[in-house]
Amino acid sequence: MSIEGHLDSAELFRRHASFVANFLARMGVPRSDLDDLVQDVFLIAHRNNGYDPGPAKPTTYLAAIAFRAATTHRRKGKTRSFVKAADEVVSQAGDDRMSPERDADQKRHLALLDKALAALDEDKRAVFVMAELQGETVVAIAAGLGIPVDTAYSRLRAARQLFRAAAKELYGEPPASPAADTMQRVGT
Amino acid sequence: MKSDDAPMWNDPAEAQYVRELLQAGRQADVNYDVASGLTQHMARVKAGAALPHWARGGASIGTVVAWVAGPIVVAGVVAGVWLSQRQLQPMTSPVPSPAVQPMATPAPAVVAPQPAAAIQAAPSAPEQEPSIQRSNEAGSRKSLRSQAGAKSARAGLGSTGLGSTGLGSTGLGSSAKSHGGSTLAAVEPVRMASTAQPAAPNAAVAHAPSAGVALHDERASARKAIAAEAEQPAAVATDRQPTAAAQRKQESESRLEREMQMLAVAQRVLSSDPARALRLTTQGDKEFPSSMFSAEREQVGLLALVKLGRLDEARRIGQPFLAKYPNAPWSQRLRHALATGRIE
Repeated sequence: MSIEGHLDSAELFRRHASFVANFLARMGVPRSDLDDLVQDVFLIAHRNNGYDPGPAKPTTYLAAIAFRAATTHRRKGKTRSFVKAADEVVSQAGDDRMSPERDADQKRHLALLDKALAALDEDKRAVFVMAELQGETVVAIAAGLGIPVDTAYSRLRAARQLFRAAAKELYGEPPASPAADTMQRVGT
Repeated sequence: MKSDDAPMWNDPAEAQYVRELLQAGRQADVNYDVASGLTQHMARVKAGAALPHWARGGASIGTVVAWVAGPIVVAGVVAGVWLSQRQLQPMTSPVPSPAVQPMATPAPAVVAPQPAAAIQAAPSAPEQEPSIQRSNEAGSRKSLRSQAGAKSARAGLGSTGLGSTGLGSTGLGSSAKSHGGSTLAAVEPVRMASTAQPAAPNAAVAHAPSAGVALHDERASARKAIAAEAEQPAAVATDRQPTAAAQRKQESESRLEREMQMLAVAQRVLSSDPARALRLTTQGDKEFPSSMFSAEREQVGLLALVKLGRLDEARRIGQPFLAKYPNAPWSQRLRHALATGRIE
């Protein structure tokens, strides 16, 4: 009999593979390596006998594994560079439902976002991505990463400051039209 | 001051460009192909694929220990030899006496026995010491591991859980443990128990001669440990017996794998061969009614109908289907296809 709330790796995959793939992408993993890393994450989840209800949500539990996968991947030098990775991810991130102009804007913003995220170290970046981009609560993030809640808050606060500074650096003084200004600065 | 929980993207106090960046990040989707990925995942699970190197703690940690301990051992041996030679030097150094003939001065002949012993010991030291030290180290490591293993086995946790498999540095180890032992080492406790428990009698024997009462206690604990060890293989054997439940699980996994493969192929050939995609989805519906992939299969079938130009039929089936699944990941694509008759 299955434990209530228990999710095996297949069910985890079905529900949260997109979450993991997007998290890895925002952690700077290039699109070409995403498939392999997603597989690694869920293989480990499988060896862990899936997910059992606990302080961490299934998403933050998987994100913690994905975080380790991303950092190891990066340190191994497989990631050619965060900027290239961002470009590659961005080039694949277009949405067919958007108008071409809006799609182009979205891609430009994503390129800048990844550059700003690159200013954060891995620990802060993981907390920031989960909290700000994936809408996880700090308590769930802390549980997933196995760190005290205060530490998670502290990392988030520091990450926000660094992100603001990096965004300001990228944009300079807030332009009237951020997208147009971005084009000039990034040279895209 | 704003709360730490308030997201930046929705905070009017944040700069517009910061909010725009974050909004872009929240809306971004890498469009990961879940069905195809799941097929791969199931195949890897079935094939017993090895964990990625960074999640395999044991070997790499052992390697690191060997790399660190090796030079230390060698340095220790060299230092020992050097020190012993240094201590011997005053004895071996000739005490020149003007009265002594040059032939007599070479003390080697006189003091030969002592240096010889030392020198004999010295060359043997590099040969023996490392191995002895290694075996001692290994022994101590083993006993430490045994103790840790015994403790963790008692606690129901593997000491080589995610913490020691390279994930621990992120704190994942502790988080995984918080999941009630769903650690990477969930596969380890049996092995650890089998290595840990034999150590208990050894430890008991090692301490046995200390006192009579202690000896009695130690023997009692050793007997308990042996009894526990005797029980362990039985438990393992019981676990390994093929049960009807395990067979059912295997069958279920094979069915799931087949279903996912059919769905993945249908999705792949949707543009190039919509008739085949439709056949595959129809066959899937027959073979796997009300499965967890029914809805995804249905939408592939509807897209195949659109692609085949059977738009009326697709709309007739698709409208109530979309009403049932208005916000699925594929809903917008299907809605667009039904509205325009084109698949994007």
